[in-house]
Amino acid sequence: MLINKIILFILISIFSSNVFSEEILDKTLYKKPYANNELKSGQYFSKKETRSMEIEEFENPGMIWVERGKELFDNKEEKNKISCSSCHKQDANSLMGVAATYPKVHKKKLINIEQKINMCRTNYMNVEEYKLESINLLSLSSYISYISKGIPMNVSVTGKAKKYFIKGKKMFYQRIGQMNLACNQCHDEMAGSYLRAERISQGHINGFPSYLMRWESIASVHRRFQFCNNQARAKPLEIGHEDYNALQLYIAWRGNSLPLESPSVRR
Amino acid sequence: MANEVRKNWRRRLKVPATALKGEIITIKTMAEHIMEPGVRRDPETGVIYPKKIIDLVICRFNGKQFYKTHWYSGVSANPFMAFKMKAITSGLLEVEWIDDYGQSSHKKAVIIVYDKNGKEIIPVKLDKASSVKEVL
Repeated sequence: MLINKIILFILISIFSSNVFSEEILDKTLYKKPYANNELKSGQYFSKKETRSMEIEEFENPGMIWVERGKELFDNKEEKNKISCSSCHKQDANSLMGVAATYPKVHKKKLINIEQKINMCRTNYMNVEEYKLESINLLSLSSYISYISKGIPMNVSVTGKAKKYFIKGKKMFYQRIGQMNLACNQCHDEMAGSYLRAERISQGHINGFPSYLMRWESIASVHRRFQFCNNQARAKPLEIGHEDYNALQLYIAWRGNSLPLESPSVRR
Repeated sequence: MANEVRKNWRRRLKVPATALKGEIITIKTMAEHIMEPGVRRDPETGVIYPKKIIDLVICRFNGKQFYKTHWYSGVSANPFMAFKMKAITSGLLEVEWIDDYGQSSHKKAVIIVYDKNGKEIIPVKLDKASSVKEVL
């Protein structure tokens, strides 16, 4: 009897780890790795010095980008004398809480906040869109995230977004690269322990766009994903890729109800 | 990314608006700068990025220099600098950043210093009634 049970257990464990079947997915699709009271943002795991640098607004280098973003927000384009603030009111309070709901499905396509800014520019302002990962775009997106600082993350994963959510979840549990690593191996199972000199975080993205000291600039979530993929020695996708948006949706949902704290400072 | 052209480099300066006489105040500055040390290479072409750093920072109070630092290539990007000074008179504080191409940029702020009775201490000495009359 005992042997039978053990064999059954082994079979189930092999089945559940290797084959990502739809049946198992459906039952545990909306099961979070961390309960709401266990959620810890990246600030909790960072070093004391880094944390103090982040909390003090003047010492935070990310605020340079926020200030520039505020200027760009009110800056009227030469071509047609339209700025962002001519539609969104002057004080920009109409955009409060918007950043917490992205990525979002827009016309059958999942987009993040940078792509939304570019859509606004082409559709309503009739001007050239910013290059992805350029300084102007990151300044604007970090300013818009800064407006909703402290508001809990609240992305929706039902309805149209469900398709992308499943895709993102698959990517999160997919082993990739020469190192044969999946995201969950570090950020679910090993969170809190040391990887060289750094503590592994739970992998939430409530602080993005965040100032990364290794690049000495603000970086978007997608650039951080690329870096993660490089670390696992896998071939990264392009910035702004649809699959990265799906992954971003899943990771944002994991940390739902964490307050937004952009621009955060990380190593 | 290092070669990207940026026009609106930002300079930041934080000074307490008011202070009591004899109080020690903290002044915080931050300059947005790439601080290229001159040893890094472009990963694709192998070309060395030219050195470009801020190498001199001068602080002046009412036009008189009271603090100066020389920086070298070890300083990180977007350098943050803080120092303390004793408030004696109210006046204009100016911080100037000069990079190794000779380009300078500055930022100014006003500090108002009060004595115990709540009276402002003016840096200029007025010669009683006579000079006041001339001004009026």
